[in-house]
Amino acid sequence: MKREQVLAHLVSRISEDDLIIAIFGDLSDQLYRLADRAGNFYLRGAMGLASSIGLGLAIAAPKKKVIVLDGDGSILMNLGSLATVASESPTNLIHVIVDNQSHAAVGGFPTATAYETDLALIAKGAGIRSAQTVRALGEFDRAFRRAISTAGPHVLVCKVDLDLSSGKGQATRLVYVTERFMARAKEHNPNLRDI
Amino acid sequence: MTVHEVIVNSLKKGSVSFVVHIPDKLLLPLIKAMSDDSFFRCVLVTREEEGVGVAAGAYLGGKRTALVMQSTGVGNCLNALTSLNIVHQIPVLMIISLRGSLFEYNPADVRLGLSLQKLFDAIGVPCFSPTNQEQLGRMTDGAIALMETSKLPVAIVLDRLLFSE
Repeated sequence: MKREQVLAHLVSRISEDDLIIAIFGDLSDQLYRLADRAGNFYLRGAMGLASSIGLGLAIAAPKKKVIVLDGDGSILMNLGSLATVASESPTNLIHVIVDNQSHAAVGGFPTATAYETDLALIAKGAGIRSAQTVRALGEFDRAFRRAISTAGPHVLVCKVDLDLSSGKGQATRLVYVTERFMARAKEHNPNLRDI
Repeated sequence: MTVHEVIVNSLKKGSVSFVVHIPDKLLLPLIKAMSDDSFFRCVLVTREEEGVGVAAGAYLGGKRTALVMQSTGVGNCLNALTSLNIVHQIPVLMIISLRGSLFEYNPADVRLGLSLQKLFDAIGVPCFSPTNQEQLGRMTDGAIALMETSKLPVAIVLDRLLFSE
């Protein structure tokens, strides 16, 4: 299965209101090219933190579906976040880990998932009940459709082919992305006072 | 008033309702007070850097946020503060208990504690250290206003001497 195919299926299954947090690198680049939209937040750094940003967003915006587009190298940097997600258990969080078993953005050195490490099992061990690994597109499509229509949190580990990075990130102004995203994410908050 | 009452008042006045925390002995009364108060949504995280991420996500979802931690944890946050908050203009109020200063018993906390102000200066994060309760309230109010204006992370550093024994 190729990363582009996973992304293409994913964006075809979401609605305008759904929010996406995407890690820096090819995932963000491909998402941008495939379907740039107000509800996409492209990270440029923040190594490992996509799952945490998605958690905070899912709690703050409970009426929106929040989709985290993460990588194996990225989540391996922040495994504690899976325990925090399990403790908080936001029903609107879908954590998609695109697992190419490699640090593709920095030359392709293998990650631990190339050897013994099973991220879906780690997520389950952390306490996230809905965690599974998918290896084919049809399987991904079924699992993602279930994830987006049932209460989460869900973790979907998608095994994809290695495709070494060539991109340098989209040239979008980051502050524009932040402002556009926040306008889309906004839920009515009558308690927020002006300062 | 106690330190935690002053801080809670300022956070409420400034609509800072989303709080991420990492346990700390000095800040325990504050964390307990906020956890027991329905105004606040509190999230306990495993590591300070993770907390920066959770708070940033909540900000993107429309909340004003605070991150409550020890000064030692700031060392875990530097990449997140620079490559997430500063670059995307995502503010967060950091409420930090200072380790490594007067009466410190753990040598491991000294170097980072004594370097805290310099670390914040180096990455361009405003940092304020109140020396009494009146300043604490004014500075916390001011820090909330400043983070909204500047869209920067802002730190309030609490010395052990602020807390009555």
